Amino acid sequence: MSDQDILDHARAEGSYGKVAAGLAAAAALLAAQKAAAQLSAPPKTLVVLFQRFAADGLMALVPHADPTWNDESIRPAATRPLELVDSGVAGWKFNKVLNNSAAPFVRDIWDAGDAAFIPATRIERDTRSHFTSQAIMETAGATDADIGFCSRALGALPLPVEPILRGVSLSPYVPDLGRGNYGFLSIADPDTFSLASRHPGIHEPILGTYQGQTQEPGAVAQRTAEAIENVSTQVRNAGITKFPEIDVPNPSAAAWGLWNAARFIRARVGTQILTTDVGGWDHHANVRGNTEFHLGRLGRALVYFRRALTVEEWANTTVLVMTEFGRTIRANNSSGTDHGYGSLMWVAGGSVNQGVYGQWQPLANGLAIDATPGLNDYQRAFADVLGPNGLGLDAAALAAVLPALSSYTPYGILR
Amino acid sequence: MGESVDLRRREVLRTLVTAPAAATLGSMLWGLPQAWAGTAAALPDLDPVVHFLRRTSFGIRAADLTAIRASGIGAYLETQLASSMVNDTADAVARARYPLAHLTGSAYWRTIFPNPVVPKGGDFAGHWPAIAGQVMANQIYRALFSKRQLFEVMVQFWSNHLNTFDPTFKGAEQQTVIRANALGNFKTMIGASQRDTAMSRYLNNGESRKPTPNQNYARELLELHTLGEGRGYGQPDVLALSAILSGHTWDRSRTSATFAEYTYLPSWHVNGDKVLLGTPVAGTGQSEIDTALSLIFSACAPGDAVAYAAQFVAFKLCRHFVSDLPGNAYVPDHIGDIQSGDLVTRAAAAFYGSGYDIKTVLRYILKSPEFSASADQKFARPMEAGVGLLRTLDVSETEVLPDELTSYLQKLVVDGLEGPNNKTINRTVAAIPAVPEGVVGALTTYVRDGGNLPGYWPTPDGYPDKGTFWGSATQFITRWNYIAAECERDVKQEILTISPTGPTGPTSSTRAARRVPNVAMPARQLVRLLASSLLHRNLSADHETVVAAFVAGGHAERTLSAGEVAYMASAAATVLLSSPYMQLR
Repeated sequence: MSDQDILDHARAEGSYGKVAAGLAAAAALLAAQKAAAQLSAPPKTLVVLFQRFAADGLMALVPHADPTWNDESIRPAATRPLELVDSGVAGWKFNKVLNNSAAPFVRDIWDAGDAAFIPATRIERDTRSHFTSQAIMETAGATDADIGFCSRALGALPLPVEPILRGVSLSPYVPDLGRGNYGFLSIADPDTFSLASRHPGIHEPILGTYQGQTQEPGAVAQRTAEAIENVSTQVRNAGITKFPEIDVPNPSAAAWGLWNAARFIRARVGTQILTTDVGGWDHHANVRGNTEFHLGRLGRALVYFRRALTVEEWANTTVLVMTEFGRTIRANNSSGTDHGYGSLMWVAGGSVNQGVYGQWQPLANGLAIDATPGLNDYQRAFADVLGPNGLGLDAAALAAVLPALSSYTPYGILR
Repeated sequence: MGESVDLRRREVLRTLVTAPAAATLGSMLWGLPQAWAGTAAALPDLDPVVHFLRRTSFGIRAADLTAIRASGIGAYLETQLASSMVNDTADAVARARYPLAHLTGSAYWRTIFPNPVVPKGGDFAGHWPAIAGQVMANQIYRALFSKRQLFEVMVQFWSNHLNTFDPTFKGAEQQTVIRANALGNFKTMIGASQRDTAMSRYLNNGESRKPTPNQNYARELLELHTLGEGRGYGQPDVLALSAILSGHTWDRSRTSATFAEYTYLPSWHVNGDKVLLGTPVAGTGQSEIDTALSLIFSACAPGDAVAYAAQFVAFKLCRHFVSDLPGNAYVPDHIGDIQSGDLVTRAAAAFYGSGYDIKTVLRYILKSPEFSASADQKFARPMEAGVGLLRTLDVSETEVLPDELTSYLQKLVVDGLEGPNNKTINRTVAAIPAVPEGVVGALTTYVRDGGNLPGYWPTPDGYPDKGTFWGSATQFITRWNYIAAECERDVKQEILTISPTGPTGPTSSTRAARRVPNVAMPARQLVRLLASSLLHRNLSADHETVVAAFVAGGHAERTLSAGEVAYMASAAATVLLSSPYMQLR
């Protein structure tokens, strides 16, 4: 029933004045709550950035002293990073493209103590299928339920004052991360998120025809019509300057996604989880050139993002970077790498305890399967960013959101 | 109503409606997992003929409905399956206006790479935007106007099944792999794809050589093209198949008569015997792949009489034609445990029994009770929704000039091309201009904004075929805007006289208005007329009231003046075409 229907019904019953007064009081209360919410600390926000199609983690956080890594017959120099920079952690160096002079990730985020890495992460199955592995990761192993873990987390979190934009996928599609009926909306571009019809209010009868559709995508249509105003006013006018590398001929998806994430955070529209996708990592050929191009963009976009937020917003924001699996240790004859297993997760944000987390073994131990051994459960990282120091879920809620996580042992990445 | 008033109303609505609903959400979490399953609200019954046409075409033109009602569904299906029997003027137009989309073999590749010697800086500057534009225009034009609609639906299906990225490289492949086999034999199609240069370039097999062959194509040939992920094979089979496929490449010699066509280089091949799917494959060189494909097409689960590949393809066809959840076989994007007796199993048996004959499996699925019972269970993808809107509105060839289609698509591709393997999820939408004025500009921009241009999906899985993926907030916004723009479009008088679909008059200027008489009528009658002519079905009583109330300013029982009818027809049409009656299919 629409608001107009409520008033029409009240008019027919002769109780219009009473109902209208009640509605006005409710609106005043809501406005007061909203004002109070805006004065308090910004809410915690999780940004999930998915590196689609298997980024080669060894090209980002580099086990530079590993003898297998330096074996020319296994990994020729042309398939390793061109240059490295120190991380301060024994055994690890960064690809130098992460320290671009204009927007240096290593200097501004890692050295500032605001980033953590988990190498050798593993998912439940070594399938090496992009599609199955992404689905496993996005649903946290619950592929039969087909509900994204971000969506499930939303279902367990307390409702913000304004619930309509509590979960946003910055995408024209619905990634599995946000699948399910817990209120995620996929919004590709806040600047075009409005209706242009000569008939004002036409979204209301459209909405009316979707009433009763409780299943996606019908249910999404209803929430879409409801979200138009918040997006077209608050988010669009959030005042975050557009990041570099967006208005260029070959724009950066990472910059685009993180710019829009910053707009939702600044707008204070109750957004608890944002997701964005960055593709271009499936480098079966020319792994160095291709990976370094995309890795450089990702590192710079994270720096733009950090600079766009206030100190307080940064402290309340966590970015989780993940990919479905790592790539082979051996390079192929195309100077590329094929599908492997163990991969690299990143966490960045103002509440991160800097470090390289989890277990690691020499690459020689992975040669039999030609992949980085998978040693560290990816869901532990999910538990960190969703848990008490992240979005705030307690152990019982985490167990419901991540049913496969038998015992919650956080890495301790967030404080 | 002013914006500030509207804002207040929305917040009130949220307090009254959303808060209790949200409380339920929170409490639902602890009742997992049943609480996650929603139910679709049933819409009123749909005429089986309309259901059949919606699924086997890109949208219903009034003439199609007349034809199928005259012949019956069975005869119509047989005519469509014998697609070359369907007289099709669109075919002649497409061949004449999109010549680059009809070249094959070396002639095609020489058009893309015209220089006898590779110029400094590469030679990709040549004709590629024109080729990309024509290849995409060819698909869209045929989807709009071809009378071989089931054939075009299958072209779309197989183009996704064997997806390669970048329309520039797809031209020859569209002809020799997809269109040549779309209603033919699946094994033949896979064989053609294995030798196809677009695939060879896209999944790196063209550069695969000893001693460490590239695994990319070998994996997807098993996972995406035939067996389905993890079904009967493992990593050792990927390695064995990549060795078998090493050396299968394309001719790089610019002076060769077979430039860029398939060739085999023994010096690149990993010699020696292999073991694939548990069976030895003798090291015979080039012919190993023939043995391998036979093994792949006949590989069955222990005790099963139907091959994995037949099951996997039948699963995808059922998902496309019946519902996102055919039978019980569903794990996201992948075939799960299929149950004895369900449609996927039966269709797979028919498919396998016929030696992978595509007509046989289509006939089986389209005549099944599961198909009949599946109305409104699919969600239109942007290409289907965009082309379908214009077909529903009976937009004629006079409004869609073939060359204008090429120009727009060419521009969109030039603007948007980011390079192979780049998933352009975010940026495709970032640079959108306002909806262009013309029919062609609006259609192509909408399909681009929706992220569904033909041949423009960057990864080898092809455009997803599930409504939950496409049914995003942005998708609804772009779709509703596109529908409103088309319904509100002022239609020029000369077009009215060429293709009249209803009485018209001087005030009937929008596309929607020309579908109804220009006379005073009750609001409900306006809604019924448009529902009948656009949706071919009745609305539920509640939904009819919602639409009638809107067009009549809140009073559903009011009679509209002729002027109001002319003005509000576009509102009614926009709502009807934006509603689940049109968008679920």
